[in-house]
Amino acid sequence: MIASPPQALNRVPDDIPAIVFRVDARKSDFWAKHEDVFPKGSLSAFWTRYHRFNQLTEETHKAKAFEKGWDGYNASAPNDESVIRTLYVLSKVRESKLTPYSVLPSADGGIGISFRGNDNKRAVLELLNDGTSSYVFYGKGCPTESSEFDSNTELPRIVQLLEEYL
Amino acid sequence: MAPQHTDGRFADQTFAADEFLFRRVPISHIENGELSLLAISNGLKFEKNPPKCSSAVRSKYCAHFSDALHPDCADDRECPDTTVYFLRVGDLAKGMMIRPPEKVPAYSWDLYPYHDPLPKCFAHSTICSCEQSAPNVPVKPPASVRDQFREWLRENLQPCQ
Repeated sequence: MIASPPQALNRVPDDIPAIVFRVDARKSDFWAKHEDVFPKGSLSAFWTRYHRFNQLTEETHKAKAFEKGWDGYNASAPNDESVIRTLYVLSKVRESKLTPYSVLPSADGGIGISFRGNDNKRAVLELLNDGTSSYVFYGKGCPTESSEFDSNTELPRIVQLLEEYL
Repeated sequence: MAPQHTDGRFADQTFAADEFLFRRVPISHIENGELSLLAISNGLKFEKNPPKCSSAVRSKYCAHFSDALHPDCADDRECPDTTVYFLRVGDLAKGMMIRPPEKVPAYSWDLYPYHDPLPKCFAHSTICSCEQSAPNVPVKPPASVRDQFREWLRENLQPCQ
């Protein structure tokens, strides 16, 4: 059998998939490793907030490393459910104008998302191990206000309350 | 030096107004010098059983505030990631009232100290809640009062160091 001479390839065959270089920003740790790409102070408000939410997501996962008794007494460690609900709440807060101050375990067992506003105004959203969620508005010279809420259905209302309070 | 052990002594329910109560606080929850509300349990368990109230160590029977970190006063555990904050007995919150939407009961609640010695920690005490009309009878207050006590503790606990 005689092989035919090679022919010039003048088009990409249909069965070769296109190669797409796509970085999933939610999963990539590129920015965490290359924060020095931008000189300090040069980040836009958009990127500053973007980084902050990435850090808060990381803090949420790290909260699971706290062991029972982390408060020096008998506080429970956050469970998987509270971590998942915190990530969900963070994703919803991200759609608002708010940027949380921190994410930490709650001494009541679970995770809390803290906010700091003007005039010493403070707020926390607590996603507890037992499945309950609550908010507390407080601060020096500010009346304490709190209530439980359903994190599946009432979150838009709570975020709006937070925006108005802070 | 180890904290004083109880060694058969009885509890001493006399607290001077200038006595201090020491409480452990997780370092992770001190943010830019401000104690996070999340460090303080809302279930501070101001319940009828005093040992379930919020634990503290009273200064009258302490050699040093660091007694609060000693395993004898911390369920035999080391407390490497905690520090000690204090309250003055005379400053404990008084006259907390319910807030809307709660409407009843329209009483006032106080915090008060209760000496509750442990075998290896004579200074162990608790911070309990009572109705102002019935001093030193521990009662769990309504939710809005518990919230106020929690915020009050956050705002008034001061670092020892």
